[in-house]
Amino acid sequence: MRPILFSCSGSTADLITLAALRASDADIHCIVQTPGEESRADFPGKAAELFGGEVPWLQVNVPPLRSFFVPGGGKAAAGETQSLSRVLSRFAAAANRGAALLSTARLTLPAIFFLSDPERAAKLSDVAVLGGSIYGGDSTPTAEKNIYADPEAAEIVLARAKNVTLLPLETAKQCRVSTSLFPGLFSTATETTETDAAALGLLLSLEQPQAATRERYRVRVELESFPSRGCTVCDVLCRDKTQPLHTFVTALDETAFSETVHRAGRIWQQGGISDDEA
Amino acid sequence: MTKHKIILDTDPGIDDFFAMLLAADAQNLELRGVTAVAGNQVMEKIANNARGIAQLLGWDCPVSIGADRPLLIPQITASQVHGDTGLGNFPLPAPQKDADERLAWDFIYEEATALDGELEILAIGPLTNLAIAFLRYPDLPQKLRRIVLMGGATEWGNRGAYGEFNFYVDPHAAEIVFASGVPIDMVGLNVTMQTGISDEEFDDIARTVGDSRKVYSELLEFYRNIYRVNDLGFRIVAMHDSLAAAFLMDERVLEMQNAKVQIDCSTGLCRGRSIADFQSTSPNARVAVAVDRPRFWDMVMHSLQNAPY
Repeated sequence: MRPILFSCSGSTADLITLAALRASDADIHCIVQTPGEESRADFPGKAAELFGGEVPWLQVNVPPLRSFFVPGGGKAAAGETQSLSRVLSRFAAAANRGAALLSTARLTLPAIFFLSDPERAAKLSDVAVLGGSIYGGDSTPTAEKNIYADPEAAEIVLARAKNVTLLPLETAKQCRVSTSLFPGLFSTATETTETDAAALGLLLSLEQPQAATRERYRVRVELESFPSRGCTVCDVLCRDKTQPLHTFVTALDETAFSETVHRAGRIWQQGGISDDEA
Repeated sequence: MTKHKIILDTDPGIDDFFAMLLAADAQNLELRGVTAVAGNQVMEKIANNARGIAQLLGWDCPVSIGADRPLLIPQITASQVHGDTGLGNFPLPAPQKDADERLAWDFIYEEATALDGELEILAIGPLTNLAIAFLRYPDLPQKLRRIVLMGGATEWGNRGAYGEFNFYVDPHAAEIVFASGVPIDMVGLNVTMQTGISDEEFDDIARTVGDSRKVYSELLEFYRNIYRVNDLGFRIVAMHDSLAAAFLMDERVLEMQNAKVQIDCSTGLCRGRSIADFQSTSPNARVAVAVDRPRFWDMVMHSLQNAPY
């Protein structure tokens, strides 16, 4: 399998995804974290535990592109240009290796990469995005949260990237896993017994293409309408023949998904040690 | 004499070409490089024109290639105005020197860093290159002295009811640039249209350049005929980009007023409109409101007298 560049926010779901990547012995080029509200403070440490500290992890605090449109916005903290440069160098190196970008967060960093280094960005073999929706949203009635968090970035990536695969909200809702498989990840006080693991579905579609049902639409992101801002507008009838189509994962093989989940669970419980190594 | 250290960000373009002639004639500009951006034509032709003009003018500075399309919306060009090549039928020499290896935004940042706050940008095309530079290098605004740009309008537009072409092409880029905090001097259509060339002035130009350099008067004639033949809404042939270059060379050319400028990024009727609030207590630009036409015209004629060929 091609190398993976994992762009995430550092959430609980991202740790589960990392466990699945570890379980499949994936070649992870780098983990890039853009912190958000859902980020865990222990994400870097837990990620390092899973991979024995062998996978590079970088963090950068770049604001959503929208902030650059506001006077006084878009200002980075001291040293952020250097952090951004380091991260984009990693993106470039990954692209040179023909890596697949797996994004489970807002698309700010990928968008800056596609804008500022278009030739290398074109070398990414796949751009797999957890985000978007076909009919309804979760952040707003129309917009899914990863797209809504930076709609301009999403539009840039969707317009420029080749081989885009999105796992939309409708499919994400099918990707639930038992919290008991991942001890220590969830507060014992919580009564929740299932958690979101949509990124596992996206990963499954990358690793086992035959396990995913796909449909291809032309997708754009609504940027102007207030009530629909951040909505992925899917031309499901593909009326516009001039633009490239994007792939939506609309269903997953339940057995394959379950196996992926359980392999990730075992790796988590074994502290990053695979069955073979155990 | 203190020289302005500038990067020329351009999409040549007939009026861009005349602005470059003006810059080449300036004694107080130190040209650090040219960055090309798609606008008047597609990038392949723009890059060729930028390199060819640099060669014609004997510029040894880097010519760097930038954005081949707007940030967020589909590309449009002004081929109906500037012709298929972007420079009418002008016999531009084939460029001998390769484009710089650095992309436009990387080159701008490196120069800005090296010059430590002295670099000024003369931007006479869509602002996509600068916007990408600000996204890619968040600390760039602190490293630039000023941006002088041709774009926008305080009254009517030349692409859409209110949109001026450069802002209309990439309104999102313009909005990012105006939000950057870098001091901006905006030279808009409201003043550039006052530089419209009369028939007498056309004759004057033809006499000035003479037979040996009539390629310049023929280029202007091409430009004039475009406006005469096509229904573009107005018949005035104006030296839009030259006025911004002239202002950088001599600020007495324009009268400026502080304003807070915002760009309408919708794709509707007001796409690309620059909304200048002259009453704002938080201005982000100086906006040109009047032009000293005789002074400007003297500069243009002087540059034509010294034009190569």
